[in-house]
Amino acid sequence: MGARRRKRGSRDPEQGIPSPPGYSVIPIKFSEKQQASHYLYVREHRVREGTKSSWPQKRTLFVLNVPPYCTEECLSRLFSPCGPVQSVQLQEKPDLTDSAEEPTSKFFHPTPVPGFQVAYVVFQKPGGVSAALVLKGPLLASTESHPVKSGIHKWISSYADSVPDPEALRAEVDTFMEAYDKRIAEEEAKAKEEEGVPDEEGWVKVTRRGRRPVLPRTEAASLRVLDRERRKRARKELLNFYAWQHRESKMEHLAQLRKKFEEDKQRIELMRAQRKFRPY
Amino acid sequence: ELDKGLGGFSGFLVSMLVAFLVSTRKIHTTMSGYQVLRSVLQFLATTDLTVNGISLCLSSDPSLPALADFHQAFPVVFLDSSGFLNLCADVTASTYHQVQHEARLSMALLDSRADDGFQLLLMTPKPMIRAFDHVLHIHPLSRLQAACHRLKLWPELQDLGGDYVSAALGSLTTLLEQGLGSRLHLLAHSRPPVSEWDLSQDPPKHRDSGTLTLGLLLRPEGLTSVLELGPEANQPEASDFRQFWGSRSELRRFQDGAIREAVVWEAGSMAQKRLIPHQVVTHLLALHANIPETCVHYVGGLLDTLIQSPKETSSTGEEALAAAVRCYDDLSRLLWGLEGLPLTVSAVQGAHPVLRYTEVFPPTPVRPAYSFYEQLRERASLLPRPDKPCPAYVEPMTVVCHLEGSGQWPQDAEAIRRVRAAFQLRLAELLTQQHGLQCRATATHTDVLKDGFVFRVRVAYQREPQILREMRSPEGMISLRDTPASLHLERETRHLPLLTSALHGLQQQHPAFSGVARLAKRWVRAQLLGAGFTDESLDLVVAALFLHPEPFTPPSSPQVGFLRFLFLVSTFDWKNNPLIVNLNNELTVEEQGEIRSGFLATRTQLPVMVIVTPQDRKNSVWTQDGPTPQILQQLVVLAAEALPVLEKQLMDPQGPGDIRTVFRPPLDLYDVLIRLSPRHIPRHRQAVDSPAASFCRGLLSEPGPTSLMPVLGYD
Repeated sequence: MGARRRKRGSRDPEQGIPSPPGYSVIPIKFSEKQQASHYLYVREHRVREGTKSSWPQKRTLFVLNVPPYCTEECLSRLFSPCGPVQSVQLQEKPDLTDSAEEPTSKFFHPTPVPGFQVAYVVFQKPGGVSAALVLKGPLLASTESHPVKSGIHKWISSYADSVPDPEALRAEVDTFMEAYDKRIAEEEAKAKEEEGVPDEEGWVKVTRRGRRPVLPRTEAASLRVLDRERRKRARKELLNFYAWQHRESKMEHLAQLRKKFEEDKQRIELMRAQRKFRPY
Repeated sequence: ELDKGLGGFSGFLVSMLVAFLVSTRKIHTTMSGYQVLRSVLQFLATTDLTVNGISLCLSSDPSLPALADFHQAFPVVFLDSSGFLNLCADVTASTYHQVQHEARLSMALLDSRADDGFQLLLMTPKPMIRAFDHVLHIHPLSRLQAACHRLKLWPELQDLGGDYVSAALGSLTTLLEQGLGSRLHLLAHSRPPVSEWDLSQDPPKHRDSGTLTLGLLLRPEGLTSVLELGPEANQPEASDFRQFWGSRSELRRFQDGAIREAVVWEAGSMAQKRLIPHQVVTHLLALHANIPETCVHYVGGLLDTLIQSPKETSSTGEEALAAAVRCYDDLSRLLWGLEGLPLTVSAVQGAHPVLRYTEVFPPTPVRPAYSFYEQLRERASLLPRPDKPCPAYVEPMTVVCHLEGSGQWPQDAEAIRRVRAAFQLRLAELLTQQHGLQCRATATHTDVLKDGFVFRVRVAYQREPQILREMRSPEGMISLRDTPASLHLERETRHLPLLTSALHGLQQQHPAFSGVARLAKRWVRAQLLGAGFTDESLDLVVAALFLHPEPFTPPSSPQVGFLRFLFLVSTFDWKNNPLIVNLNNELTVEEQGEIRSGFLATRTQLPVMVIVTPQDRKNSVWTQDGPTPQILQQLVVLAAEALPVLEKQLMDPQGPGDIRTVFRPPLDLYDVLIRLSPRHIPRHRQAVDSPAASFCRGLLSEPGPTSLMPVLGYD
């Protein structure tokens, strides 16, 4: 993780609100009607020398404690007075890599209910970052022009979203399965051509199709092999040949007895504690 | 509690019994305490002192009165060493039968070599309210005086010196036993306490000696019969039958052509059939003993109001559950016969509390009123409207469908999910085309609307948990580790259907299981602890009451089962013992011993409440994310508090007062209370104190066909 270590303590003298050191505080409210506000903690995104990060160095703002009702376009709208915003990404935890994963399917990976999140806001110019650091609040997440649904409306709309469209689902399944089948076929074809062909160091990969029988690469198979080796070795070694072997076996025996005694003592303690019939 | 009161089987009698056994060489002086106990119990269980009395007197003097004379005068005969005194003079036949019954149960317990036999046998209290299914109180005892006169018990009154309570007991109990016949396993009565009074005062009157309580232990087979068959009309016993039953006995012609006397009781639903003994008892007491119905307080169905649905008060929901299960059977038959799927259906299993009869509020067929909702036309579904109150809660019942095995399934987790979605879509299409059922498919399940019930069908692939468990290490080695996703999937598709079917079987064996489970869950949820316990863990605790009822017999009424549930929860040592529920008797005694020792070894990795079944011996899957220690402790404390309160209410002869007191949670220990607006609570009517008025939730009352999918699971 980067250089962001949170410490308790130092109060921000201007606003009387506790914040982690090095962060400035921006209050954010859901709408005009609320009295109390949540606080966003912002800082310029910095990493230690040598650590790679995919966020552009000078232009990225790191925001902590983003409340769940704040979405990505909401954040970009709120930070646009500081400067043109290039992109916003919300994550659960601070993560250095900008994981550009393939867009997750709406049907198969329903988005979980977000808690408080962490955001990386990339501005187009470095001036945006410094303007954001001195931004005073309070920011409003939901205004008349951009209302955010909450309560009954939100639940009704999420229920409506959960009713799926069979045609879209079918189309998505079909495209995925086509891509999958193609990939499997390609892999098969590649494995077939590499059959028995040595690679650049002269090693030939042992696969299922070869002439010699091959073990599957699972943990259970390797454990079985190790077990067999151990048994073969145990058959061959002599255990009572040397004097030190005698001594060691005796000491082990004693240690085991002692351990068993301790265990029994504990068990008796437990049984005595569990006893319910106390006539005295 | 058999040794208390007048006529109890006191410690003195037991010592005399041991002396008798020593004298007849059944007990030697070298025997240990356990052996003495065992031989006493065996003697009590196998001999019958009402038929063959015993005597400590060794001489056979012809001037001594014979045993037969004693038998004519007293029900139970146990003579002392003089040959003249019957030690069991005050012991009534029903008390003696109770002693025999307990002795038999104890012998069975000792023979089964259960692990905590000592605890169960000698340290578990068995008060009447918890041991007997139905209990009735006869309150103003002065009525018994009139009863004595009516029953012509003047000789007994004279013998007992005017104690009409004891005099009436004998004939009342025989009367009721004859009336209840095959429904009854055991009838027992409480004994008035032996009172002490000052020399200078008059002795206390008999009517002040408390109440007379009778306990009934019912046979489960007799619970459903509405008919008492009598002899044929032309036989002499018919007139006795008519005289016994009075106005209720009628001549009826039966299907086999016989004309017999019969008594028919009106009972519509299962709950009313359970209360038939109440009708029998009040009728007989009023007819023969002149005790009116107002003096008899029957405590057998008082807790039934808590498992009734808000609208129908005559049944406790068993019929609704049976209707839902029948609909599920039809659906599974349709699925079995479905053609056109690439792989045929090999198994259909239910995985929902309704299908194991333990859902607290059984579903009713749903017919939504379309004006109440917004419609999503292209998906044929209904949506709630923001301006109307919240729609009624409809919960879909989960059904797991296994397909036949095939090697064509992909081996990649994401691909399997897509293939399953394709199967769900195809299933929905086929059901709509071939059977005209309204379906809605999503990526993980298909909702099917049939006869007003909604089922959620999930297609499952057996190897999927295995594939989810595979993890590739960086060297390319495949190892199998349990991931949360694989555990969850395995629980849903393998363990849950097995548990559901096992509990379904248990319900068929013990019909009272459903009522007890529903009452117990209602109580736990009413105490605001329902979120901490999975449904299945509570069902398993209730199943333990039926499978391991020692030292009691399995409960036949929801009330006694609930009291035993509270007792079990409050006194079980969750920290040091696993709760072993031996479904279908699959675990042998050795296996149980192994499980216990394994439990002690791994106690720190196991969750705080451990329930072991034959299908899941080590992991206690139902309580893995289950109660935290604080919630379990809270439940134990609440159960310990609730039990004496409820017992006192039920044993109170003037009537129980407010039976829902135990079901109201203590709210003063919370710092913040959030009050919800009842307009948007879909399950508002299910509150313990049912509200006077609630909102219309958009359902029409008569069932009929619907064409749109209602709002599901919206809470």
